[in-house]
Amino acid sequence: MSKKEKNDELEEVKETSTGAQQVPGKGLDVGTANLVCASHDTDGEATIKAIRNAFLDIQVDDYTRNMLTKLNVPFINQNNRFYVIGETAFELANVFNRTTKRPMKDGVISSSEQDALAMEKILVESIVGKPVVPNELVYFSIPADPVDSEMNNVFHKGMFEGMLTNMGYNPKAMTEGHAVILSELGDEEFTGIGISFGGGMVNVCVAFKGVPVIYFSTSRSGDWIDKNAAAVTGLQASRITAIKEKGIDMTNPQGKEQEAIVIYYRNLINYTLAQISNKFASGRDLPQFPKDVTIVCSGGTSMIGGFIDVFKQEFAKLSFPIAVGEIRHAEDPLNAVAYGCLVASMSE
Amino acid sequence: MPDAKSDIDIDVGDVLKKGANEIGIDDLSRMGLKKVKVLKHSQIQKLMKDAVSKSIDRFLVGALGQSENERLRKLIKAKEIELTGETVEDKSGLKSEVNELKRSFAVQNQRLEEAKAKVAQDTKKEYERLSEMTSLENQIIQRQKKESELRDQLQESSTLISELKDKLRVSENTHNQDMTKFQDLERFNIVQDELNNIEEENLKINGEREKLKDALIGQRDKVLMLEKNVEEKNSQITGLSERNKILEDEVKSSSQSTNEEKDVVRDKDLKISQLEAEGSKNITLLEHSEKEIANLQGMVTNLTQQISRPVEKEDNSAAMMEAMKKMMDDMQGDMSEKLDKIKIRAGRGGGGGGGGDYVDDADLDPAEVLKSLFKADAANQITDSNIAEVGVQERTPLKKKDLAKNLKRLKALKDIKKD
Repeated sequence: MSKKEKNDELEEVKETSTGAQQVPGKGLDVGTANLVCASHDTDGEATIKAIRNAFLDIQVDDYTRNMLTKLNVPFINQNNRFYVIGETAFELANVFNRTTKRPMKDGVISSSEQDALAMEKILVESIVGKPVVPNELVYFSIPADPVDSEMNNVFHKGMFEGMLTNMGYNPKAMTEGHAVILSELGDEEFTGIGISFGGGMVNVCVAFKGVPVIYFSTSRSGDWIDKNAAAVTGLQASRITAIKEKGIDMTNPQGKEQEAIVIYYRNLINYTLAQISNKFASGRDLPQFPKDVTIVCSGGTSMIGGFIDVFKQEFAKLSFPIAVGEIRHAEDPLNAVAYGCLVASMSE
Repeated sequence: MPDAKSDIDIDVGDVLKKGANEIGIDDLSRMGLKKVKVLKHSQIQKLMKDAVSKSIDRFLVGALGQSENERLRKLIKAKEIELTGETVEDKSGLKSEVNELKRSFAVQNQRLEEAKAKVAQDTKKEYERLSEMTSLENQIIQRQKKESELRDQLQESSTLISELKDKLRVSENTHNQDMTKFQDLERFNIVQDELNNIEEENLKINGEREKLKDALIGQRDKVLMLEKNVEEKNSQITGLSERNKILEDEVKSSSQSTNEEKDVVRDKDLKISQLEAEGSKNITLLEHSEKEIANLQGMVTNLTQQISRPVEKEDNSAAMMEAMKKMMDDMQGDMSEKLDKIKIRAGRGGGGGGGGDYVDDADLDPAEVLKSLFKADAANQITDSNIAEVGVQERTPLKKKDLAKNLKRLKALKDIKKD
């Protein structure tokens, strides 16, 4: 297949590999660590495309350019500067002993990265692709306003709206916590608490029949755990990340590093639950939940072994303002937000 | 009749000798015996011997002593004579009487012998005891004698020690005196040396004084000469001061003209400073204008944020867009071509979405503006990419997600809400 034919195919993505037609409507999880796009076809099958939200500038000549293509390493040439994007950027950074550049920081577009906006557009384009139909509806996730910092999501939301509009989509924003509820609490009539433990922030949403009544975010999450655990153990944050991804059982930590990680995890969970309680205490005109609610946890930071067990332990220590019946993990914690956004786009 | 005394083996002289001890007169006086009666040794011996003999005789012969013994002898003899003169018939009676007397005499002799032996033993014991006592007394006396001798020696030694101490004290005093004298001698030598040094210095000083005297005389002559010179100089100075006054008058007149020139220079300086102030003002104005440019840049970014929102209420959007347009023209030459496409209606209040009346011309569409911005940026900047060839890796979901169920329920909820 020639390059042009390939491009044509990519430009008009209407048929999936099974032959089913792609249905308009996408969900886009704009995360600090990963960008995830969920789409679906007429068979109801969901397709997930994900890319690491990172890039790395490199020196490239004609020879290396061809090698990169043969090695399936995605790159772009922007203003005569070459950038490798996605997971490969991480791998190459390790090889060259460098640090990747991240367009997003703490849940929003990074203000310190000059090329953030342009690079983010390229990354989003690579997973969202061309719209199936003009002005295809796409719901993208945004963080709720944090309770422990002055940051707001106005610029972040506006930039992504403009970006997706530029790509031919009809963008709409929704908070990450709300997306989790739409993805995981269908059986509970979309009533309960959805928590997304991302890399930069934790997003919480308390919804009643699909309507968010409380939504906020906190600035403590995966990166906060890595940074603090690294500080007390004397290691690099990347090392802590590697230990986490290698696999830890929070109910049975082995060694000083794992214990430090578990300590900060517990603090994170306790902090999040306390913020939820505070919101309930300070909120007005909150609905009365007739039944015990369900808490669903999602996000890459919640993928650590024993997370739900520890969550339940920390929950038991608090006096929660509403009755909670079940605490569980999302079916697919890494893609729950994208699924929720997709459901929202499909429902319109 | 045997001699009883000879049976008693008692040497009185030996006993006396043992019981006696020689003692000097000085010793007696030391013992406190100032007056004594002196008996000769031979007299004492004789007296003690007679006394002992008498006592022995008494024991030997019983209560009656030797006279009783003679009396019995005489009686025996008398009776024997009678016997010789008497008849045979009387002889047997006398014989029996004599035999009886002999028998009683023998018995009495035997008794005497026994008593004598006993007495001898007792006396012997007594003498032995006495001799022991006297020997002990002698020992005591000897010890007392020694003690007194030792006391005397002690006293003598103490007196000797005190004498020696006195001598030592005296010798120390003399030694100290000698040392003092020796030190004085040393000091004397030192003082003498110092005196000698002082004398030498005095001699030197005297020599120098003489020299200085001579020098002083020479200097006096010089001073006289100098005074003469001074007088000459003073007369010169007075002449010069008069001349100086004349010159000062000339200087005053010239300074007045200089001041006039200074005023002219001052005026020029003032003009220069005024010009510099104007220049600094211009610089501040320039800085202010640069700040305004920066503010306008910020306004552009805010504006781009605002126009990306579905705007429900905006104030002065027309003025902001004018500022944006102006800034874009200044900063990005290329952007002016794009902004020409954006036609802005003056006097329009509110924003997109609901506000005022829109004319048929191109509306202010924030999305279009942003779209054009990104489009232009993308077209200009990305010159090469292999993303289309490489593609993006799809992520395999952990679990097949049944979205249809959730979708159905969500739609049902929405329908309920609509109702």
